[in-house]
Amino acid sequence: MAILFDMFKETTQRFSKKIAIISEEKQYSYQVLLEQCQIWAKRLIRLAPHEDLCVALLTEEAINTAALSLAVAKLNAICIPTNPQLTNLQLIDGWLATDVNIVIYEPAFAHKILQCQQLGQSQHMVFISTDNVKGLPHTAIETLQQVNEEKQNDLNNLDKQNYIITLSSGSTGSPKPIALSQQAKVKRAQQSWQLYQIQSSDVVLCASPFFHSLGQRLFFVPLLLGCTLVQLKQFTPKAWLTAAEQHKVSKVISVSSHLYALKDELLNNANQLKSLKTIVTSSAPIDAHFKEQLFKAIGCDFHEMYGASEVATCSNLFPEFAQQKYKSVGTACPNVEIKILDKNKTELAVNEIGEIAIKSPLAFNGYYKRETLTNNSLHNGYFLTGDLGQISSDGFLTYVGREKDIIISGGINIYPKDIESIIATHPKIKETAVIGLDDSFLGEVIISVCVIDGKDNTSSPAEIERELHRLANKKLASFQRPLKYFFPDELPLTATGKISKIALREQYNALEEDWSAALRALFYR
Amino acid sequence: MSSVSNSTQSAKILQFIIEYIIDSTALDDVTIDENSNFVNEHLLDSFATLSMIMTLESEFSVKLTSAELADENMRIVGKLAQLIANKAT
Repeated sequence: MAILFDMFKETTQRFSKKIAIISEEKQYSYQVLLEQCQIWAKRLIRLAPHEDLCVALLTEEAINTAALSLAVAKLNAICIPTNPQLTNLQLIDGWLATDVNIVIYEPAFAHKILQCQQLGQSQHMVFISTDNVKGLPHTAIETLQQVNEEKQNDLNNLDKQNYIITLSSGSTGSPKPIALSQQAKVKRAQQSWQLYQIQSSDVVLCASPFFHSLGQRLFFVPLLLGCTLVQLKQFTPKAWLTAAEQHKVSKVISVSSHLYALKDELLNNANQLKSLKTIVTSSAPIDAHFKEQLFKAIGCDFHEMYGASEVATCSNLFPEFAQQKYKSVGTACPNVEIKILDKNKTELAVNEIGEIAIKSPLAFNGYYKRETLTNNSLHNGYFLTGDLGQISSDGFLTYVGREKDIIISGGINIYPKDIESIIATHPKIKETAVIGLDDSFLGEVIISVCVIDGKDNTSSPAEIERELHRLANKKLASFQRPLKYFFPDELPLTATGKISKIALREQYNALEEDWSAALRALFYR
Repeated sequence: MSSVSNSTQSAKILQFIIEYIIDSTALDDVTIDENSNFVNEHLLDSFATLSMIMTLESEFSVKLTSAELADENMRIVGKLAQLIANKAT
């Protein structure tokens, strides 16, 4: 049952003339979006029986992304949103792993597609440009029909319930293909409506790409309810601020790195942002000091959430607890169960730090055709997030950090987030990332990479470094203190807008500093 | 820098080091002065020691070499302060 498409169709009947999507200077009504969707569905169904379609999207235009993903839903087919920033080989690998047989791309990516085709592993895939509005070339149809006959047995084994496969951007190894049903997508949208009191009158801003699960949520949450979606093809603080003000955006769900990048603009332009009713931060908790500043300046509701692509939003910190529980990511969402487990998968007591495990009715179907990987990610029905956290006696979850985002120095486990939250209290620091660098003696040593607040031109980096050393010496345990502070103009981001600690480690390890030389000289000369 | 101002700077650095050790030591009821040996008396753990050197380099804009720190005298608070004062001139 095409539940997601059916819901969109019903919404269109109620709001046919209303603006569904605003992207850059273009606007599209619900009726136009539905028509585009129907056109694409007709074109896709000509290619093959609908249950056989696995359609990869290489699109950035909101109208293409929305119409195509809804057309795929109408056909009960499978949609694989793809990151154009991947290398050609990564693209092909991802498509092969998800049985893609149609790739729809925008003209901007034509050259990339040509290079992919030259790799020689994509003979069974049909490539269609979005500017091919008059229908598909006959050669393409024939090619796909032939391939489908050959692959009929395989294709018949596809899980009919899968709708979207998100290729997660894991820090190591190959991406995990996270498969979700239409029903799960609809339930996830409904959860957001309820948690953040989203109504059809709202204007929702999306600054995340559709190949990321947050970007998908930011499409379906407004479009299934009758809201207006304002999409930014590329995030910049200026573009975000202009869009929010011009289109009177009322609801924002944003990765925390975007909010950090927006810090000055948000605080300085509070008066132009009065339409904002709710800001939700996602992906990584923002520090309490910044949250408090934002709360005072904008005055809108402020939610913090914790979640993962596999299990959706798991916790929510309601605005009334923003001050009192500022370190927490909130309590479990309705029907979601959260446990903290030790390394043996035994549940830990309150306030003990361990792996966050989630049982949710909004969970994924599994990793597509990766049964072992799926089974290894679950324990007694709980999804093992790979994140560390603790739960207080009154049920508030605190996110501690990625299990893998641990610095081990001198045999001690150190959580960067603990250090980042202290450094972030310095008034001249806009953004910070704490990382571990290789050291032959201690294993790793801690450094901090900081972006200085653009407004501050009264202090030199050397002065600020002195202040940060004093702050760390006062507030942090000796094993938590960064040895050195670096001050670039900006921090590198991943394609999904998170700070790339991998890139930072590569950059600063290349300095080849002997960080513990002083220690060895004093103690072990 | 004159010997008087060097002496003043040395006293300032000495005070900074003493305060750092008092704030960072895990020991109770310790008295720290210029003659204290922060290594032999186990006043600081290895992290606090390394952090102290990095803090001193930043605070007084000097770079301490491994060869200089390998001198056993540099474990003594007053001697370390004097070295930094000399390098800061």
